[in-house]
Amino acid sequence: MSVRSIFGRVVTRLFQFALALLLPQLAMAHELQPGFLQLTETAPHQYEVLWKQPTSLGNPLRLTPVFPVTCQALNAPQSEVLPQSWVWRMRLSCPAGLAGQILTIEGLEAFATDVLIRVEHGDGRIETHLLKPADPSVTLNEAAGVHGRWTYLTLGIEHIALGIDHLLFVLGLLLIVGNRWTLIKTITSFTVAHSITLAIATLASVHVPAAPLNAAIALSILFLAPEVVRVWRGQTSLTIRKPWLVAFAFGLLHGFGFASGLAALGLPRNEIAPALLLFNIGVEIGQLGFVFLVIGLERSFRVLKIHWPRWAEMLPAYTLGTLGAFWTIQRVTLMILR
Amino acid sequence: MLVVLGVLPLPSAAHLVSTGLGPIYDGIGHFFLSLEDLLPLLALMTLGGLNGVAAGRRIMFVLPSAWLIGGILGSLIAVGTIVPAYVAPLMAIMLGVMVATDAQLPERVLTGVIGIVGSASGLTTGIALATQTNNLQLILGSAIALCVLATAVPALVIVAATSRPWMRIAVRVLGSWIAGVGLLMLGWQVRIS
Repeated sequence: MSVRSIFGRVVTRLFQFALALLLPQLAMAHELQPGFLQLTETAPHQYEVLWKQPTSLGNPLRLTPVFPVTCQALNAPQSEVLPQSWVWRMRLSCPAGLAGQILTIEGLEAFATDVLIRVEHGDGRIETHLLKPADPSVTLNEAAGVHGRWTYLTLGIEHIALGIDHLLFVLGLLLIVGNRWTLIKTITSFTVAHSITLAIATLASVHVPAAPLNAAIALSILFLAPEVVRVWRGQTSLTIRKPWLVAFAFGLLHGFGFASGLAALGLPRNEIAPALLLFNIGVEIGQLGFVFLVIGLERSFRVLKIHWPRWAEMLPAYTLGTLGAFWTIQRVTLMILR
Repeated sequence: MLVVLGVLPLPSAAHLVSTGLGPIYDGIGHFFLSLEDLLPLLALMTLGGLNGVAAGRRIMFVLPSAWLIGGILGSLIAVGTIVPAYVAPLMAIMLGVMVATDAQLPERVLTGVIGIVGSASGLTTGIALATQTNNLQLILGSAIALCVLATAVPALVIVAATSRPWMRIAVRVLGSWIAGVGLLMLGWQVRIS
């Protein structure tokens, strides 16, 4: 066995070891959903409060809304457990109003999730804010609603940026496609497919249970890994000949996954259409950014005339296979245990 | 490098970007928005591209490695609040002039320059981020951003410089701008110190 071969094996094993160390963090990719706090003014200075506390692996995150000091609860909070969140409802009286008051989500700093705040004022104005771990407080004011809806765009970009599983699937597709025209067809198929199911899940309130859905998404990544290996071996298959077909089929699944980021919020009906549109645009911006990044890097490698050793060429397939297998086993196990 | 660190101690000016997407993305944001650190690295990548394909490959592999080693070392030694504020402008001036004059460096010299500039830049960032929680993840995020740039910029310069003669001149003009900005940054540091 040559030194080069031994080195390749050592590097591959080290990579697998590093991946195993990173897996627990990567496994959280889609478990955290954004929280949602809605205040609806039902009478002057009186508000109905809806607080959707996000959960992780079935456990509620320790997030608590801290209302302005001038506000008082009119009844005891009532709770309801949903698949991806705990919902709390209560009534609040704020004699001084909410304008200029500070609203805080206590504990947000400790979690990698966001909380969407939506305030429906009595005169019809709607105020929307997206609170992040680095900035868990907001000063409520009248002008904020103008920019509020753009928060859904941000949510879409964030959802794809943190959705390692979606990005890995796109990477797998990019590694399979052979030419520019096939690339355009494949990415368009994936986009159309996930837009269809994202719209169905959001507009028609079609609910796909999260556990089997996440397991199927993981399986889609695992499915691509051997196909990438086949491409490098010069073999062919239906996936390699028509990657756009696979992109469309699995894109339908991934669309339901994207919808979880929006559906978990439980937005009022009149807010759903613009939220869906902006959220989807955000997802596409993130996805296209990733596609251009990978294409740009591939082009750069060719300009720099880099001849990767065999083990380095196989790393993306190993990544897809290892993570796909890990996520599939983990998610199926969770599904059975529940 | 250590001499420079000792001679030019200035208060730390870490400015962490919060993307809300976690420390890796924060590290990427920090890298792209720290112009004073980015400028000499951009000049070095451009110089690599002007020196040809082999030099571009050297930039791609050696620069991120040297930067990462410097960054991890900086976060570990964490020299309190000392950050060498003059180093980045001086490197930008030196490398900007090299780009402007289209300096063709021997392979070993270029590798040495990449190693010194990369590790010095990484060390500066590592020290600046040492006080942050998850500082290693922040450094890793910055290193990922550097990997992408160190691959794309030399390739872009090679394509530009070999496509048309005036493009090579344009790249050299860019070098003079980098040197000019470096000079302004140095002047600013002298003024505030």
